[in-house]
Amino acid sequence: MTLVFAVTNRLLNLAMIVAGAAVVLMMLHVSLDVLTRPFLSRPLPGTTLIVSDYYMVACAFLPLAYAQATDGHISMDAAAHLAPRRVQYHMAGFALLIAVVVFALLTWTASLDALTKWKINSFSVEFGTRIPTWPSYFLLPVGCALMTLISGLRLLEYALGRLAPPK
Amino acid sequence: MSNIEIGLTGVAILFALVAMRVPIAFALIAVSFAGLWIVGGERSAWGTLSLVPYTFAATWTMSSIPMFLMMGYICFAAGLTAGLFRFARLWTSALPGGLAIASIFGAAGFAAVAGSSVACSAAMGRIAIPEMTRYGYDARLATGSLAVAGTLGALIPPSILMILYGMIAQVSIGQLFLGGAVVGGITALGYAALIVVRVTLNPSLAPRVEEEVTWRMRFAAFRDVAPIAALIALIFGGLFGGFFTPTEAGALGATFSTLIALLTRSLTRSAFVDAIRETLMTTATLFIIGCGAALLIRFLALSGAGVFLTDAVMGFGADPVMIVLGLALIYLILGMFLEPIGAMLLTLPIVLPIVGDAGWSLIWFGVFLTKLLEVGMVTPPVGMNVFVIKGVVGDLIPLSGIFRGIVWFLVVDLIIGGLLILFPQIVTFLPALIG
Repeated sequence: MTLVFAVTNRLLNLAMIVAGAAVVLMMLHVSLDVLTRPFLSRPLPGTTLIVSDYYMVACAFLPLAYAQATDGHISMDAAAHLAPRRVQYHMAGFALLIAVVVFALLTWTASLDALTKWKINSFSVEFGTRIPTWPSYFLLPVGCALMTLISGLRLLEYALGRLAPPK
Repeated sequence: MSNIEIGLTGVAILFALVAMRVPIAFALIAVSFAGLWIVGGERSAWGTLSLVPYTFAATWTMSSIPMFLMMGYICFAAGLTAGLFRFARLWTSALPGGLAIASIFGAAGFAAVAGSSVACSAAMGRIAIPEMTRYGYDARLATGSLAVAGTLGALIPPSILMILYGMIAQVSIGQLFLGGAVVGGITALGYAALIVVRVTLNPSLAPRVEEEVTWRMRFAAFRDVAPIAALIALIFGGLFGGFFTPTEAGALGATFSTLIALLTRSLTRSAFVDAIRETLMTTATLFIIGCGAALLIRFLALSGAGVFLTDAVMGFGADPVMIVLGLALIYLILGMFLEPIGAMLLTLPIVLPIVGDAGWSLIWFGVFLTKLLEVGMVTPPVGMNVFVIKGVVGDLIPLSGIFRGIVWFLVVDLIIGGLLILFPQIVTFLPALIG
């Protein structure tokens, strides 16, 4: 069990590093594109495409699992706060169950989608440059799979009565 | 059950799940997927679920959110905004309650680099409250000013809330920003005027600060704020002048604030890593809620419940002012319990068609809604800005004391809200002129 958590934590950190690299690259790439605009006759090839299809998908979905591990997803505490402790514990378990179901569904459908895009070798053309887009479709199922994994592990903790109480 | 009944049941289940502390995003996705399955069948449900999340995130406009978030977090982590309070303080020293007024204008300056309210309260509170305590300011006035000053964060551009609104309502983010700048400015002036009046009537609230401030000192303070002022001028000049898109403005802002921080040696490696982590956490948690809201829109449309609700409200009271007053009441109540962006994304799929049918400009409504939701940041029981200020001041004053310090400012907010309804041109004038 400890090993599973250790490996999962590694994966979560790795996902955060990739997403962090994406957001820093996005900042530099877009800035460079704006700052070189007066000197070049055309924008840097594929800025819009790489920003929206690669950097954005990475930084929107890869950190989901890390947010779940640190209780960072936005919820309404006001009403639940009034419930007795034991009820609150079961509500936390219920929320984890919903998370597992929702993100398992998302992982499944996004994986199928990514495989299709890979098979047809999907790409976009911007200013005459051919840029493959299929790899970006794998970022979504990877982020959702990690999210399902961490939610599942925490659901297990709940079942064992070991889930930390909500903040 | 008819499709409309299924849609309405879905909405009821959605709110029940949210009340049970199921994260808003998960509740939205679960209900919408199940609803689409029942109403439109298996294929429609799977098709929507695989299409919506990717297309929601993978857009150029949305990429302005992580960029503006990063700019704000970096300015905050590097303390680039610390000079703003000192600057404002020297320029307001002659006014009654000068330090409190300075914290309002300092926060307005901070709001121009950061897109959210909590960061604004925290950053200014840490600097301004100890100063006010030192000069014997009333603790309620000091903490109340800082809590409400934070609400300028989401009104004055850049505003994450407005970007998401613009995305869902399909209106120009630049125009929302212009409207927000006007209302943010009016709000700051309103708060400052209130402080002047209250301190004039009761000088013991804020004893005069005995120190000589010369004009030379005032002008010398420009040097402290010059880098941040140049940054703000560049970004908004470029954005409103039509040279940059919001994403480009945000990216340049993030790059330049990092450069300024590196040149002034005010950014440590760990502070930078923290800023990135905060950016990613906020981006991911907001985007997944956004995906959920986009799914809900499709479910409401397919089931017909959206049109049904709009017709019901329009048939009930067709007067546009009554509709907006009703919505204002709902949002003030929602804002008491829910985080603003969550509350907005949860309800926009239902509310937007009603507002549009009632004939209000969607730009106007976006700014008005931001104002309402920000009031929720300072009202009990859940007022995030107040919690943040409480964290800054420790045992100086109980939570209830801070809430009481806010009451007078809420009167100002209500007056401004009323003015916005009576004279919608306050919001729409500038965007129409420039856009």
